[in-house]
Amino acid sequence: MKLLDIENLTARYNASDVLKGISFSVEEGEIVALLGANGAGKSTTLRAISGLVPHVSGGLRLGDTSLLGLHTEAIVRLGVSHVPEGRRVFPGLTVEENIILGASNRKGLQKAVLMREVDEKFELFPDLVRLRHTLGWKLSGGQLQMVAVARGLMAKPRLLLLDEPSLGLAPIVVQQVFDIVTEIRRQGTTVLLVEQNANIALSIADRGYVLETGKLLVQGTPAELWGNSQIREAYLGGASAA
Amino acid sequence: MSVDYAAARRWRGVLPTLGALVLVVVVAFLAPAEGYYLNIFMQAATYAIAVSGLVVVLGYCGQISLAQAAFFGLGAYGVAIGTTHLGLGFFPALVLSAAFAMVLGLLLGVASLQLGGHYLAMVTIAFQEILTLVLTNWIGLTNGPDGVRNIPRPAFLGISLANGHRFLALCLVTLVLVTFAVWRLKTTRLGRAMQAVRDNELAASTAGVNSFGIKVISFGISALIGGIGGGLFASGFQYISPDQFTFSESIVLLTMALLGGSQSPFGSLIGTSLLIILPEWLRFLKQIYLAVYGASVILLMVFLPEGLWGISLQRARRRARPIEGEVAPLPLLAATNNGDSSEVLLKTEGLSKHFGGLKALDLVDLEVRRGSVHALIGPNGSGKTTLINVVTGLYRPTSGKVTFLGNDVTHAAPHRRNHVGLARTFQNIRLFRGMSVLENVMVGAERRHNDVAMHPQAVVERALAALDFVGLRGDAHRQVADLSYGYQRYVEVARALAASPDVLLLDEPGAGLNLTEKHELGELLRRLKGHGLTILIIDHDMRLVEQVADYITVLNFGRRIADGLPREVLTHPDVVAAYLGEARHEAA
Amino acid sequence: MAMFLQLLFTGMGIGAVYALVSLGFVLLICAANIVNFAQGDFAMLGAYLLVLGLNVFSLPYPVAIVLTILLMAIFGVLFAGATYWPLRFRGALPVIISTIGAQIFLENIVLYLYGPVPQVLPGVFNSPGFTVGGVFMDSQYLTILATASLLVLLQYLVFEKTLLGKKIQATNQDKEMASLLGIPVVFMILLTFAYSAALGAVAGVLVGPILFVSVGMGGSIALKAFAANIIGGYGSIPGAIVGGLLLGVAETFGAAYISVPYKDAFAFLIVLAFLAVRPQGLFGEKVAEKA
Repeated sequence: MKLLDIENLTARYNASDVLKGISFSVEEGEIVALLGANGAGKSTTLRAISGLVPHVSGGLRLGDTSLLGLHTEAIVRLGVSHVPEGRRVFPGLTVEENIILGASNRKGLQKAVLMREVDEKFELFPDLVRLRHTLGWKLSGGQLQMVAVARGLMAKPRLLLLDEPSLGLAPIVVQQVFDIVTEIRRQGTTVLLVEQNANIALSIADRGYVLETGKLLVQGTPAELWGNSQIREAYLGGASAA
Repeated sequence: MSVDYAAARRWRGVLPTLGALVLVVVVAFLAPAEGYYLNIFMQAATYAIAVSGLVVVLGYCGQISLAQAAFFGLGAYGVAIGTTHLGLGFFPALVLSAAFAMVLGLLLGVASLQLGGHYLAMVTIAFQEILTLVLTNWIGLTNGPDGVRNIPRPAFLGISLANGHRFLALCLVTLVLVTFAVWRLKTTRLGRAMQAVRDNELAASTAGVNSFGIKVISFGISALIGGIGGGLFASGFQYISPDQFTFSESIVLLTMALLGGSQSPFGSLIGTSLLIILPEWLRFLKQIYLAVYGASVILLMVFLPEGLWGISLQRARRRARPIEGEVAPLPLLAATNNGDSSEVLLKTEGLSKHFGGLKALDLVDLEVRRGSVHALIGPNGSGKTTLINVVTGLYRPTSGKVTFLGNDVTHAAPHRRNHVGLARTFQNIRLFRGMSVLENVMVGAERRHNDVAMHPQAVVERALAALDFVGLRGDAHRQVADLSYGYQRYVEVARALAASPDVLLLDEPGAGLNLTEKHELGELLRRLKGHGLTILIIDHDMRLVEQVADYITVLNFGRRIADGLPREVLTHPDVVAAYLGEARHEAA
Repeated sequence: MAMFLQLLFTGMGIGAVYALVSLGFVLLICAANIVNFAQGDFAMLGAYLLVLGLNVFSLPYPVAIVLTILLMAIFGVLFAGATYWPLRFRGALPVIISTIGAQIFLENIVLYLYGPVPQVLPGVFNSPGFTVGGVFMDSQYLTILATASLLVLLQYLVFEKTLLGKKIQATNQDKEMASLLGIPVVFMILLTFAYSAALGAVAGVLVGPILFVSVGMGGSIALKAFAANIIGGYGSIPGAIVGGLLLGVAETFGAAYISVPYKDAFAFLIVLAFLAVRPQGLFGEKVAEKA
């Protein structure tokens, strides 16, 4: 069943089109990767889904509900959790407070339930336990990414949007983060992933789409995409494609 | 046929100004000689002069000044005290007091060295409040709250200006001259530098504008003009008191500038006239008119963000004609790639930049050789843009050294680095959005030490040549904000090229361009390379990098992980790993 | 010594009023990034509403105060709707100008309704006060200090110990991220406006009996509050409180030992000194533009 269905989506920003009619879908339980160069429109796609881009048209549905024209807060309440580029952990709040606020979209949550879920997140990210009461601005890049993902999961999302989780992380930390993404999917959350790091993204994804300047270039399974010389070229140039 | 653009503009507006001078003298003598209406005219004229000063500091340079009434007051008190206590003539007193106001204005501008925005606004408020207190309490000098009476009106060339008509004529003539000067200022080198600072201070500084100096000058000019207005005001009304020059008057002056449109002295004229006449129109509302005035200010902000003149300007922009005629091509096009390619133009040694605990750059060594295209690549977040920012002086390095053309520039300000020949573009385009395409590029051409910098005509030609090179000559008069994303990138490149730099830094020029545009960009880079321009380029597009790069340096986690010829670097295992991630097996 | 303590007491009392207005000021800077020039007029309106309640409707003092504060909280929301909301995407300057417009509007409406003659407000307590060790403890000043301390404590508890407080802080730190978590950002901002106006009203109600209630009272308080803010550190909540107190004390001592007419100049001289030496203020952190 299609969880997210996007049809001919366009987005305008500063009088120019940043998305020029893209169509794709994400099935329930999948991990789908959006790949492409800087400025191709990957982040804009995620932002359009979350209602952060003002001029969007086309079809944008979560299950049976159209998200078009809804406020960000309403979209989040429908179960779309967006972990944006740059992590955006609140610098003046502690790790625990950041994670607690991740559940802001859920009404009438009991304090005991909330705290139990927070503890579960610390089990998922044991590295964060000793940082529980540390302020956000003191964390390193990898720690910030873990807090951001943990916070995103507190929304109990049907669809998790991850924007460049590998950005600026050491390879070992990237591994850790992607292992957790796999684990999240195993627990039943659908993931739409934006990445520059094509290899690692495709290593866990079921399908991938490649964007170029606001349009879809190719799509396919990881194996198909790897077999596509266009992709290898776009990422490493002709010299290594040979 | 060559372009005579600047020459044609040299006398621009002179005739209308002469006409306006005759007209205002006639108006002055037709105006009622005494009483209420004369006062209204006099007030409008002198206030409008002071508001023109705000056009310079706020409209052109983008700095908030909430102390224009203080400079107005300095001029007024200078003339009042000079003529009544010190026995000076009106004109010497006016010159002295306006100069004094300018000196204080320059000092206020110096505060902008460390402070911007709200802080600077606070400094101007503090200055305003302290001046009001001094005027009120230094009774020996200012006569305190009672004010100064019997301020004389002068004679000019033997003609007494004591009569109301004649003095009003003096005020209006001054107003016309100030308006003309402020209007012309906008299209001078200084005026363009001010607007560049207003629109994008960072880009201005890397394009060679000394933004601190420009701000200080703007405050000085604004205070000078305010002082002149105040001096005329004192003689016009022949009586002044401290309550005429308070913070709330500064607010009134500011509102006048914004209402009319702070970007133009004509706007300020309209705004001033309207706000002086408005209370007359609203007189039927009796005491409540000030409340209506306050509410109108809010409504104007909401519905007329650019002011009244701003709206008429938007219409006019659409009608600008292209500039015809041949221009000399960019000087670099005369060169061919024959420089000594072993000479290192730009060098970093052990360069580090830490943000808190994050090592954005960690001991990076880089050498850019004359005539080469040097590509800097690496994953997002690897420190490439930080390196460019440190090299151009926007960031201070934590440690290490930057050498450019053999000089240590590690601690030089961004505009100084530009002056000696370093130009750049930005990843997230930084143009001067309030200016036309041509004006943007002219700011680049006006780099100090550029061969054309001091010749207005040559600056225009150089800018047009740079636009020719990137293929945007036909769009010279359009507002940059109206151009598409790709064209805005080219304007940035043209701005940098017009400066005839020794080294050009391009930060992801291909980001956000479509295939055709990227192809065009590749062509452009190859042409530049063919003429021997030294380029340091950041880009992710490996096809582009492979086509143009002579050398490649790869960064990851702020460290240099590879450096050398393209073929070696791109097959280096660390580079492959950094770009695609470690090879990873599904079975794990 | 008694003289010194007496001045300190008085200075702290006035300083507490500055601190309250400054606090309201800072909250709006944090929540909406606006510098509200009409902040002092929240105090002025509060004082006039209390005059209205007491003198015209003859309400009992506590009822009048509670009503005043409630009405001002509602007013804060209306104020946001008129001056901030339509201009929220246009940058700092248009909003500043529109709050200046609001200032002119509010002061002249009140001037129209009440005329230029200052109104007299009775103190909260009938007793004038008492003397301890040669220092006269005026009951109104004591009330100001007690109320201000209580409010600061209350605000601290709400901000640091409740989920609502955390949501407000999250909104202040990153509005877009807050909305991505489902925090109702608009509500948080309006709440801050309401609270800020209520804080202003409390300041006005407290200072009214000391200063006389006049149309111009807001302007001078607002300037001091802005100054307190710069001294404490732009946008810093503890800075607003400490800056306000410091300013009140400095002003009182300056007037007593140096010059009465230049009393107001001390505030601004201190501000200039701070801007020259430590522009980030007492509690602020250095700010730098990112390229």
